[in-house]
Amino acid sequence: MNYRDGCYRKAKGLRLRPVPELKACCVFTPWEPRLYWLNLNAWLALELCDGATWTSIEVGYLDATCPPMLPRRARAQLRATLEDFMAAGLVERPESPAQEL
Amino acid sequence: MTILQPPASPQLEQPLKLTVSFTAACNLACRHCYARCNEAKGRPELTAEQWRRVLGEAMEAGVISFYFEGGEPFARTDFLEILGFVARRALTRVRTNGTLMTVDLARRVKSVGVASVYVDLMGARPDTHDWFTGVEGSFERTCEGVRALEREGVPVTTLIVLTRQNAGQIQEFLELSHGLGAKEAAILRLYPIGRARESWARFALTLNEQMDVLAGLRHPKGLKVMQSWHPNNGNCCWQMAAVNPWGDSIGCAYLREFVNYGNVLSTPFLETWRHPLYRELRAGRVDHSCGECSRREGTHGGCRATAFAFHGRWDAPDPFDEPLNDGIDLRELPGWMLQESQGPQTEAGS
Repeated sequence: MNYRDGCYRKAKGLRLRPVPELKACCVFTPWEPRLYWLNLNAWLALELCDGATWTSIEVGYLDATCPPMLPRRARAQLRATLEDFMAAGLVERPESPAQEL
Repeated sequence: MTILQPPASPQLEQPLKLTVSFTAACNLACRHCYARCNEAKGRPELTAEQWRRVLGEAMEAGVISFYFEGGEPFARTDFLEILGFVARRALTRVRTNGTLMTVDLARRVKSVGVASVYVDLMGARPDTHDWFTGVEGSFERTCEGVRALEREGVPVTTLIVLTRQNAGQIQEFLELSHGLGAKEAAILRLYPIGRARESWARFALTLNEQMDVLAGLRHPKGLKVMQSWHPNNGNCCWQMAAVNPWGDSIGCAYLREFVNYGNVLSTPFLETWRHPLYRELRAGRVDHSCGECSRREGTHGGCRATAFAFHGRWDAPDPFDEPLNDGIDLRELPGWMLQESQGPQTEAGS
């Protein structure tokens, strides 16, 4: 599936622990007990994964990060971030947004 | 990478990690036991129901990582119930002597979602280990426990507290750990608390002797080796939280004889976290610190328990850190440490 297809949502059972003092968010994955630390941009990207489509996530991400970031760089960063999330199991991609409903 | 390493130098408004000293019951009788296990304490330990309330409150307050220890936590039959309560909502690790671990128990530990288990060895040889534990055959049972955990897919870190009696066996300990299937082995410093405090001169080494042991080690391929000295002087009391078997909030298990921020049965957990001394320790104000440890670990002066034990003040440097040692002979505790009341304080910051 192309990364632009379908939608993205947080994996079930994730626990997020915001740590604003560190401008970070700590994420616990119970199925493979582990903690991940996300910086502000990654934290934003994860919060945007609420069943939204790529286009919707991209709009939200660019809106929050550009400027100062250039849109091209922000898109590349977002894509890499979601790939990392998928690899770590933090985010799932149901076949279509309809499945989310 | 998007997914980052934990940031250094946190100064937290609410706790992330909690050490739970679940019980002072134990089936061994270690000569250097920090918890003085099985000695009469005169008050009941928290029940499972009380622990559930306290740990639930801690998770509400933001705790996302638990480290359980004892005593021997598996000596209490309600321990698995407690693990099941927290392990799906927070990273859960357990420290054990391993002697009660069976394949069936290891399977249940895995199934409730425990992330990893830390198993104490007192030496790399049966006679040394059993001498420390006071229980013949405990070495073999501990090794069997490690094997059972590994067989069931529970990651194991073996631990050894460096003492005069086992200093010549640390290389063997690494090889033993590797052979047992452990993924990690950790060499820990001796802390001046519990029975180790009472018999400090018998167990303690000079800092140079400790450094010589560490410097001479060859790490078996594939085994991650951790140690708790410079420049890895990150210590928990700065930002950690800990509760003892009776519900006292003590910040860090190694501070158990020096502070008491309040009892979580009568005081909300977060209120103990905001105790003035606790806040002061988290602020990291020390009179001088080790630049390398500070940069890597954000500790600004190392462990507060050993700093306080050797200097008698909270803003002192940690003498177990070479650049901060200032000529202190770690084999000799100050006189007041050998004379003071041994039990937990009833008020903070004695």
